[in-house]
Formats: sequence, C-alpha cells, structure tokens
Amino acid sequence: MSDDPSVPPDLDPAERRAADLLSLVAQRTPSVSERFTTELVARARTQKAITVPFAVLGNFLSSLAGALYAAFGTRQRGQR
Amino acid sequence: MSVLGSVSSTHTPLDDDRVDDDDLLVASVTRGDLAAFERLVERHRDVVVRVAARIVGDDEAEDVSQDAFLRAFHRLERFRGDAPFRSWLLRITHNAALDHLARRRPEPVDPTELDSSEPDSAERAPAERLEVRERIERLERKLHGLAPAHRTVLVLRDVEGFSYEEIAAITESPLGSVKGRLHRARREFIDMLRANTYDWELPL
Repeated sequence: MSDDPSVPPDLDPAERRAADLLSLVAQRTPSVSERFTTELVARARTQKAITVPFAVLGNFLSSLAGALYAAFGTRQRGQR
Repeated sequence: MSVLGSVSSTHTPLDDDRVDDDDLLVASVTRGDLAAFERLVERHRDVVVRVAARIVGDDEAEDVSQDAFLRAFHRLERFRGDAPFRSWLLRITHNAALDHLARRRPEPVDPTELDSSEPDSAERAPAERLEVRERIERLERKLHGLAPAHRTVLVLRDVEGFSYEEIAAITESPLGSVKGRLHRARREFIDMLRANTYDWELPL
C-alpha cells in the first residue's frame, strides 16, 4: 500500500472528495509577524538567563544537603 | 501594527541533509548557541505556525507556536534523535495546541453560523478567487467544529500531507490508531459537510 500523501489509499468517493476539499485549505497560509523569530529568541535568552542561575543554585543546595547529611547523619547514627 | 509575512504553504518532505543539519544545530543549541536556535526556528517556523493555526485558529497560532518553540528550547537536551527533529518539534506543537484548547472555554458551534460567511465588501476580488477564498474559509470553520483529535489528524494528513508514520510520531499514537482515527475524522467531516445547505459536491 502506498503511503504517498498525494494518493489516499482505498478512499470511497465521498472520502476522496473530502480529502480534495481539505487540500484546498492548504492553499491559504496563515500570516506570521516578521518579529516572530526575534521576539522568540529574546524570550529564550531571558528565560535561560533566569533558569540557569536557579539550576546552579538548586544543584549547590542539593550538594550541600547531601554533604550535611553525610556529616551529621552518619555521626548521629554512630552515637546511637 | 505588526508587519506580517506569509508562511510557506508547501510541505517539504524531510531529506537526509536537513535532518543532519537539524541534529548539528540542536547540538550547538545545547552548548548554549542561541544563533543556532534562531536558525532552527527560521527553518521550522512555517510548518509549526501552519499546524498551530489549523488546530487553534489564526488569532492564537503565534502564541501557541512561540510556546511550542520555547518548550522545545528548554527540553532540547532530552532530544535523543530517535525521530527526526521536525517530528519531535511538531509533537510539542501538537501538545501545546491541545493544552491551549483545553484551557480555552469551549465555544458552542452554531450550525447556522458555519454557513453565514459574507465576503468582506472592502476586499472584493474577481468572482472566482472570491469563491475559492469563501470555500476555504467555510472549510476551515468546519474543521474547527471537529473534535480536536479528529481535527489534528485531518490537518496533518489531508492538509499538510504528512505520512502516517510521522503523524503517529507527532501524536504519540500507534500507526493503526492513526489510520482508524483518520477514517472516523473523515466520516465526521463528511457528515458535517452534508448537514448544511452549501453544495460541496459530495458523492452519495
């Protein structure tokens, strides 16, 4: 069976007509702002500037918690 | 008012060079290269905006597309390259569009409204062009009356011309489900077209 999009397989006449009508929709293309990419990259830059320090801080706090647990958690177990 | 450009309507099949280039650009972006991200956006913007527009409508397509690109940007390190980048990106777009529809209040579809479009008198064009445009607008309104899952497969297959395999990757569904859903979507669409007075020349 062909998977070529231009040759819908095994369609009855009504389905074929519906597919033809839908291909008409492809003729109309939505407009897009010329600033689309510029704005998007600016948003990505801003979000990255915010998320990277938080990730670094999160990793630091996680490492610190691990170190504290290793130091004090094991000492408490030793005292019991 | 923003300057508007038109997105390309032609669906370009994936070729190997493009896939390789995408993978290289993704690798650059994960190393912090925003210029590479910009190139990825430029490369895939048209198809992302088209798919978003046909699921959520033109007015909200840019917001959904930006959301999809930003989601992709933050998840790029998780992109394994098992599927082409475009399929992965369109999967995110599809999910962003469905999330957007879920957040939006459902708009009841008035069947009389579906057929009531009048061409803008300020934009009179030659009769034939006007008729085609009017038909397209009617068809788009019909599409928006479908359930989102049905709308999505019809858009991806019959409007954008994607293969069943790529639709399965985008919608995260098995191939058999995609074919079954597409069949049901076409039947729902046909029933909707038959339910009004406009002559769509549908064979019985």
